[in-house]
Amino acid sequence: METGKRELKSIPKDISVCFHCGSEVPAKPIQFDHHAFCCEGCTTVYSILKDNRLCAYYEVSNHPGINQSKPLFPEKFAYLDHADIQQSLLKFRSSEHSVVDLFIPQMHCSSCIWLLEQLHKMNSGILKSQVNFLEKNLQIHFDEKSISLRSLVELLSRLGYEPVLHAGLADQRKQKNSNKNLFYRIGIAGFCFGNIMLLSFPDYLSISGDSLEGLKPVFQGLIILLSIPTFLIGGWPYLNGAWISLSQKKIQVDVPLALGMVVLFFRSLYDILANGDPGFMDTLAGLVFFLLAGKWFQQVSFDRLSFERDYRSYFPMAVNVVREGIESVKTLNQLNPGEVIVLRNGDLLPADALLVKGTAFMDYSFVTGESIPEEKHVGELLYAGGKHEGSPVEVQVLKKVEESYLTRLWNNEVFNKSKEKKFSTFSTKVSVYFTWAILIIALAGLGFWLGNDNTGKAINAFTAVLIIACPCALALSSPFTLGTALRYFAANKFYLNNPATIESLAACNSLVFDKTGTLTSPGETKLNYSGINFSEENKLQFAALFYASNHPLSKRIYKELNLNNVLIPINDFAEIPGAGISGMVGKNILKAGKLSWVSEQNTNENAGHPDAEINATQVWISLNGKVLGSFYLHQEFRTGLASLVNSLKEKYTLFLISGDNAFDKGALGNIFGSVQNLFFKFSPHDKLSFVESLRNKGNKVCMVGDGLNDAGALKSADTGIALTENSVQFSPSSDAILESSALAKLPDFLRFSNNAMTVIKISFCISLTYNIAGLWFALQGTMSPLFAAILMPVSSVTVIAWTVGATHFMAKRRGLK
Amino acid sequence: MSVLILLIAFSLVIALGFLIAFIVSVKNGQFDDSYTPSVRILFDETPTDESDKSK
Repeated sequence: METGKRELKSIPKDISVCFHCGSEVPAKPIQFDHHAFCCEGCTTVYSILKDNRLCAYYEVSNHPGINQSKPLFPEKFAYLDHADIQQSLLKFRSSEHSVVDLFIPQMHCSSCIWLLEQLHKMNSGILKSQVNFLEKNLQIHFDEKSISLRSLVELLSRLGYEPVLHAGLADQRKQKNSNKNLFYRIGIAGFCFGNIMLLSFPDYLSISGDSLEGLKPVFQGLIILLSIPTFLIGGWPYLNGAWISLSQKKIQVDVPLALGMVVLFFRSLYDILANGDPGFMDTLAGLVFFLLAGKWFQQVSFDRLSFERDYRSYFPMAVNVVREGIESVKTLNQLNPGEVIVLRNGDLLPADALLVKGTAFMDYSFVTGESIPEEKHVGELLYAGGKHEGSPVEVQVLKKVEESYLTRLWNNEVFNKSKEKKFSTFSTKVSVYFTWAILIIALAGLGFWLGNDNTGKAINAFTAVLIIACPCALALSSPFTLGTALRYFAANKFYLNNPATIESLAACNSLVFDKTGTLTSPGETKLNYSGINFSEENKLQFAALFYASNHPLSKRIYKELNLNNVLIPINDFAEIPGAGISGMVGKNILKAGKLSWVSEQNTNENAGHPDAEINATQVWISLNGKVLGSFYLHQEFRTGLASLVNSLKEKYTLFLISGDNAFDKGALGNIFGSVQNLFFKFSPHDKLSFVESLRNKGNKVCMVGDGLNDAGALKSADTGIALTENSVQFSPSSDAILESSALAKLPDFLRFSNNAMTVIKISFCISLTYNIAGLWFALQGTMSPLFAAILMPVSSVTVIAWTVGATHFMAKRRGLK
Repeated sequence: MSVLILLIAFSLVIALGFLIAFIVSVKNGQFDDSYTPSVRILFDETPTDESDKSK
């Protein structure tokens, strides 16, 4: 009884919005169980939850559901019965227990977590389900005998949590081990650091006396015991890194670090064992611990984002192949040229193909960012990457998936090169000089004392120089500055793949923009009309003509023309695929479509018509044979584009490369100041080679793009920024993901990257000052372990405090806080 | 001063215990997800079972 009361109290009785998804309900909402719903889909989800007594879903947060107005095609997940696909998806499989990880970007609130973790109540075959909200991942343990993978996914889809399944999933298995290893190392290094310091206390305080003499060997034995795991486990990433870079005959920051560590360890070992001196093990442990902590701080990971996507992340896992009227499921690797596949509404075409049946409306927004679908007819060539909208069509595959026009882009060598090799970071450049400098100073010290016949001091000075010059402050300044900067960028919806991206951003001098979807906003298309004005009466007549057609453009134009839903009867309606539509209203003959279709004059005259064929999505209209004008859809530029370009123009060379025709050239020329750097009709391959050629001329290029056709250019640029409407959406592989709402802040981001690099350079100077002070004592052969044990942490802490503080300050100045 | 050795031994054993506890918790994935458990803990325990009884 008690819970019944609670239910009444906490469920809101707001009837103007859908009880399930919270969207506005139509004038006549669907009433079910005393609640209002916006559509059948939402009602179904509610009834499923009610049947399973899971209505507490609605208590955790208000209207938590996901709008279900788009119905599911029942055979959509048939491919999940395919053994190969199951094998590639399942993480673990045994006769009674299977585990699958599903990516569900729709989860958005605590109700989602609650419901997805209650799945076992809906089907006894589900043993356990666990959500990782930040990764938008749902791990399900289930028994394949009671529930198949397909029914599992269908169950989730019915609830509104349709998992994202695509062809790239199989190789996208994330490796989380490296992260865990770092935690282990920090734990061990921290433990050893603390205990070694504790055991070194008698030395710090210079406590000596007979009573302690007996304890000394015990303490020193323990210190050696503790320093071995510090050196081997904690120091491993640096020792290994140094070994790798030396075997490639290169010097990176790991080299001087590893050199310092090795000298610290072996000299202390010698000091303790041979002379019973205190040694520098506490300095070693502190160094390793601080370095690892810096590594951890720098790892700002954006688990839900993936920076390594290629075309396979967009493509379906399988296609439906038709042979003699029978459909069967095939995975993409098995798909061969010549086979006929079915595309249903919303299906993506994975390979170049020829349309053999039906009329296709291909939406290439994944590829180009252009969201207006193109109409295609039987016999026309369709390119891979397009999404079909409308009734099912059949297409004959012409090329294998990886040999299609778009996907061939990934065969370019830029996709095999790793970025780090192209770009050497500041600390790498500095460490080369740094390493040679300390080696020379150390050898000079060694030579000087050897010349004075003091072998003991010679060895002492040599090792002391290598110890004191160990560039821990240099190694710490980058991770702390860049880690702080990464967090500020992320807070402003700019997500960087790795810290080195900040350096390449700071270095860039040329900015290359894509047009469609990057400088124009994909959602907002505007319908324009140019031509002779027509009367209100004619307007309604044309509305009737467009109403009769199912073409997406007709629907769009109808919406714009007929605002009052007045319908006039139309006679002799005809729709000629590839040409246009015609009909009679009263005595008027109305035509709409291509210019050659609407006019009765010969086409030569039309070619001279002002603005003929300016845009692919142009619809001409004629009344009784007289051409009135044309409608065309036009994508709006993003708001604030002009001020964005203005603030970038001074410092950077700006370029625009677009796959579109030059329709917008004039408007963009006004914004960019000249049309000199605007390039149109660029294929994906052209874009790639354009960026390559800029780089070959010595420019540091930053490319901003959004579609798959920019993937090559993004990859070959020094910095590739993928623009997305929403960060969980797909974006091509890149160094950084920028949410389109933050595009206006790009100049601030670039300036802030420069500031971050200045902070690093200054902190390098600070650490050099400490090093020089230390070297003074080191060269005289008088450096004591206590001095090193104090100097090392003091310099590290100053550098960390400076970098973090200065970066915060700069972020505030740039308005990123 | 042998009591000092005993104390050092104790402190090391305790610290080692914490280190092992930390390593085990990392291994069990307690550091994998830093958000979801904070939401999960606020859910009432099996509210559906309660409403079962009331019906």
